[in-house]
Amino acid sequence: MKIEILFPELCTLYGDAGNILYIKSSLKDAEITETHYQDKPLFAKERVDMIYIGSMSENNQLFAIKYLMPYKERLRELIEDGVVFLATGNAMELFGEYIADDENKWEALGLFPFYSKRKTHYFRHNSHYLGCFNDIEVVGYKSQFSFCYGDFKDSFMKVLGGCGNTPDDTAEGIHYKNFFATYVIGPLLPFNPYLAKHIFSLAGFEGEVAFEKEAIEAYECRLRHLKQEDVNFFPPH
Amino acid sequence: MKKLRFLIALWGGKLALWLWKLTGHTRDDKPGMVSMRFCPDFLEMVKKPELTICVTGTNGKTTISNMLADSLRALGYTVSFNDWGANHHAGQARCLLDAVNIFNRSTKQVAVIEVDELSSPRNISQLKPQYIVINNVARDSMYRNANPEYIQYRLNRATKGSPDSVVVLCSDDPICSRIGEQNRRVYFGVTDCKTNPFDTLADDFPICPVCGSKPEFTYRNYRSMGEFYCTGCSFKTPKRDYFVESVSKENNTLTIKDKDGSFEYPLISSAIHNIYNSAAIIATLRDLGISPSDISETLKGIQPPVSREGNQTVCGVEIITQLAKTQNGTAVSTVFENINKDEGNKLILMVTDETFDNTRNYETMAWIYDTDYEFLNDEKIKRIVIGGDRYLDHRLRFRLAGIGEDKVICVPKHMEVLDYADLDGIDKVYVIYDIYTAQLGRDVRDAVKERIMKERGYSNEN
Repeated sequence: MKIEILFPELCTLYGDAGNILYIKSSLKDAEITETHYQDKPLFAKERVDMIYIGSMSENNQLFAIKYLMPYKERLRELIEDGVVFLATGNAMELFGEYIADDENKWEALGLFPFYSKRKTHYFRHNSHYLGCFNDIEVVGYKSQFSFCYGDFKDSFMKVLGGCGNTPDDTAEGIHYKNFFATYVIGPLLPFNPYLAKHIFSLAGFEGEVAFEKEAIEAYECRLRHLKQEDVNFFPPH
Repeated sequence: MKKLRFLIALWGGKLALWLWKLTGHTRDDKPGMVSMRFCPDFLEMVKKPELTICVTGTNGKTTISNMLADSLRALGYTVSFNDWGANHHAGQARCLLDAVNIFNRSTKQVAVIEVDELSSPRNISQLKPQYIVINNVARDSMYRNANPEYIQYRLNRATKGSPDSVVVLCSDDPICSRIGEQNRRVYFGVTDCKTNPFDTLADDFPICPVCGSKPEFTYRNYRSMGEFYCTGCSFKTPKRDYFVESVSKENNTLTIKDKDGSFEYPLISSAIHNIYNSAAIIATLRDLGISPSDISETLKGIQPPVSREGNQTVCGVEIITQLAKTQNGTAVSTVFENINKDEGNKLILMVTDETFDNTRNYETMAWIYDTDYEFLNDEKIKRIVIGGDRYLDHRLRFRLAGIGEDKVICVPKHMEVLDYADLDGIDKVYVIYDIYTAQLGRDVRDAVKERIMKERGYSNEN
């Protein structure tokens, strides 16, 4: 199994390093390539089984788009071919049509029909998140400056608590073939061992994820808290 | 009308300040809140002393502003200072209420104002200080501060809003060094202190922010602080106006070179972050025209605030209480790195604050994956006990760092850490606490102290 992690030095902004750590700890037999910014990506040369990219700063989003733009068609081909993709946090925005704020508009990869809009003066959105993918409940957090708007018939999760791709949306993220993108930040995989297991299995993994028992106990504890009646997914600033 | 509102705010605030002081509440920003409620432009309209210095940035604000205020007092100035870390508008208003009379005339010569970096655009543009000191910009709580690039943007807006201010900046911080383009900038930096910093999970300077090329360091003192240059463009460490060219731990001195020559100053603390803090203070005082000999004499009597770290030795066991600001992975990693580098067999007791992670507030546990738990995977660290609501998250993180259950115990209640505090063969006990668990940290420290005295015989050396 070949796994490529894109720009780990740029794209581990909000605890997303936890996803890389969990991939490495769970998929011990996999051949894992960390592609650094300005290096030629492995996926350009050969088919890989899984590609991961995490959260980054707003400035670095533009650098990442510039870097990936020449490989846009190759990425489309790999997505259509069923390669597993996981994008967390604002990495999802790279795959839309453009990113905009009140003054600027930057072209993105254009692989999915949506765009992202940053709030004036970078108004920060923070919330807890509880969602559902098939029969797997997913827990996590959101912390972002932007929301994305567009056609999300291929959403990743249904929102059970918190917000979706926009504050009023019940659709969260994108799921198309084996492409998964979510605004949920940080350590999505170690916080969600059942989801991790499912995504890894699509890339050909069988067996237990790393420290499965410990991960499940922590996950169930968080799930219990998020299901309390008085939970406030949008605490005041 | 605006002036009338201001006067009501001033008199209301002064009355509240008098009442608060009368009842012993000297370190409370509520009088400032009263003034701000009546007049949101209070910070702009209140008369500022002849010299106003704002201290902002990610780490070291409280230390620098405390030491700066102490130095200026020792130099004979009358100083108003929000010295309890009240760095939002109410604390700043409270500080300035203390610096004027009821006719809005200055009663103090200097105000040293600690300013929260996030709210700095509004507050600094209203305060219009003569100096803005920014020590560093690093990763902090993502909920409040998002990322260092965002804080740089906020601080740039702040300095733009006060274009006549002199900005004192750390040249060795690639993010901080780009702030205040339109202001007069004064840079301070530190020579290679051979600190041998560990590589960390979180890197705030992964690519050049100007061109995207890979940056390099000639040397690095800690995290992203050092002498840097970009391999693809001209972005590099700016020329230092005040440069710590040597540090002597033997003589307890540091030597700073400036345009007038090289001068020796007392070494207040040998910790690398405090060397940077000292450089920031000395650069500010020197730029104010104070002589090196006067600064040196003044600094001899100054100590960094002790509330954040403290050591005691009990029956040969050193107990170190250390603040670790959780939600800020880089800060906790620095604490873990220092523990790793410290000599002796160690026991670590952690009481972190996770109430913000409950369902009524908002903070995340994502920070534990920005934090280098791997630094604690060391044979001299004999046992780690951590207590708090999110103990199961910590347990998984420790396992992923390769530290097994034979060494790490995670418990749901803070004080339960004491049940597993096995002191056998231990030379040093680290009690790690958070801002809002400071009292718990003290309780754990005192309980450990008592136990050591009981187990090893009573003798308190400190």
